[in-house]
Amino acid sequence: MKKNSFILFCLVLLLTTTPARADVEWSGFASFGGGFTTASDEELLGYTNDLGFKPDTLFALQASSFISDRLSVTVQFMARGEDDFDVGVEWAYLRYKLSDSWTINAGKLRLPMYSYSDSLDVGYTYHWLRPPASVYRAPFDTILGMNFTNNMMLGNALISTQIITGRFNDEIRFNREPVQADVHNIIGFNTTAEQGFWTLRGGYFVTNDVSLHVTNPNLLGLADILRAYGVPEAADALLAEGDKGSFGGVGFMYDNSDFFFGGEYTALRVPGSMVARQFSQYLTLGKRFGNYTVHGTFEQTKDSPARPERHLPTVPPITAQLPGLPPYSALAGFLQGAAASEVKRYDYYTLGVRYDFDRGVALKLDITKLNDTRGNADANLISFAVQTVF
Amino acid sequence: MIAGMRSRIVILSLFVAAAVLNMLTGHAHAAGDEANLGKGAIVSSKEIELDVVRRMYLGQQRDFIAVNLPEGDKTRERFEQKIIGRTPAQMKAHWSRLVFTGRAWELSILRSDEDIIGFIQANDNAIGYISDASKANGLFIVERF
Repeated sequence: MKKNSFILFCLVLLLTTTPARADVEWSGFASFGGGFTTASDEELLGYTNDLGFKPDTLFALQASSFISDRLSVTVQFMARGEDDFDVGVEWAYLRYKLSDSWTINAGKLRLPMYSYSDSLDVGYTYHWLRPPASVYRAPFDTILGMNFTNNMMLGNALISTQIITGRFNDEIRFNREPVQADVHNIIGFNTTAEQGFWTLRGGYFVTNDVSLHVTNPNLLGLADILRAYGVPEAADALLAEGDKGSFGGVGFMYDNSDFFFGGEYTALRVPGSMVARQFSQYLTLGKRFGNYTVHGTFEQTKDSPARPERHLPTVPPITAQLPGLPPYSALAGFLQGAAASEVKRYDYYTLGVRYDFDRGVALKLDITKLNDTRGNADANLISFAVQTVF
Repeated sequence: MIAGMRSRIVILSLFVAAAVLNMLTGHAHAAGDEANLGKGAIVSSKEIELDVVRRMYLGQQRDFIAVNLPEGDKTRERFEQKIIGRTPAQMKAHWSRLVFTGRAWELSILRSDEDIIGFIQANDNAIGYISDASKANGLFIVERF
């Protein structure tokens, strides 16, 4: 319901703000993808052994309109296969040009956490079928807020900086379940330097209040037991309730049109909770042969478990055994287990081909191998897609 | 385990350091191929550096009004290959990225050499390219390709 009324609001805004002088400029992009894993018990990136099409299929339309020389409105509508093609507003913002070098944007904005954040859904703009899943895995990527954007030349390098602030308040997936998340007071920056064949970027974001409203009875039950044993601080260290969080990322890309190589490294932390410290990275390399691009990527997800058990005093503050509850001595193990369930150690290897077979249309084939170095999520995925911009 | 992570960070940092060095020392990259000059020309209403032209057509700078010939036009493709150093598909991908992030708007498209010449004559800060330099007719020729 909320989604629909927001779409309606945006449409009305677009229609009512486009009298006489302003034209609405429409553009769009689409991806139709399919894939399957190579064994019946394997699952990877939303695919199973049965040929499926939802994870990499999406359609989007973007409308932009200048209201004045300085003010414009942009709204992007998107229907994703994985959301059963419910049309949603991916982003919607007002853009005001303060000067030749400064712009301010306000509305629903993409949080620039990665090199490809801004064109995450526009497969046509990169060589892979999808950005590396090991790195591109933050549970949300848009916020409601505003940003200041600056462009300047430093020698021969173009430096673009965004300073962004806002709030995220929506459902995410956590502990394998949908959870209502509220991330307040996000503030951060992203700087990109482009010169010649090189692009470098770095960004850092912090929040002083992450809350995940978990409903998992096991987690909530464990928190209750901890409080019953008089160690609420350990319950706090388990659940994300008003905790600080940070996200940092750096990346580089060299592309001389003949070949390219690049990489990214990211780190996410929510120290006062069971959320694992998430470290991710990839290196990618590719070469173009006419209309063909051949590429390979090594990706890694390397989490460290949170340590909520450190908040347990060695001597039980009340008693070692409450009637009807597990003994105090078992609690450290429960906490470690909960934290460990959030940890992922994945190595991915991807080989792929992109074929630009017509203007604005690319065909892609990616083969991805996942080694779960800690558990048993090993899988091989063959996926293909046709991706376009129009 | 931690050491492995560190070594990877070190490798990444080395790449970044190499990139920074490369930026600081600056490096010239292929412009028009001198031996293979065509009849095409970049024309503008005033003197402008070739690097600025490249940035204009990559959507990185907007000091001038840059105009394009239609997609698929041979002169446009030669201009993109020889002056910008990218294939039409790469240019399309690059511009898609800018357009779908609201960072830049598509450059205006004019149909012919004559339209481009007329447009530049009417604007004192415009830039374009034409298939035949001999038509430049008093406009500033930035580069032939």
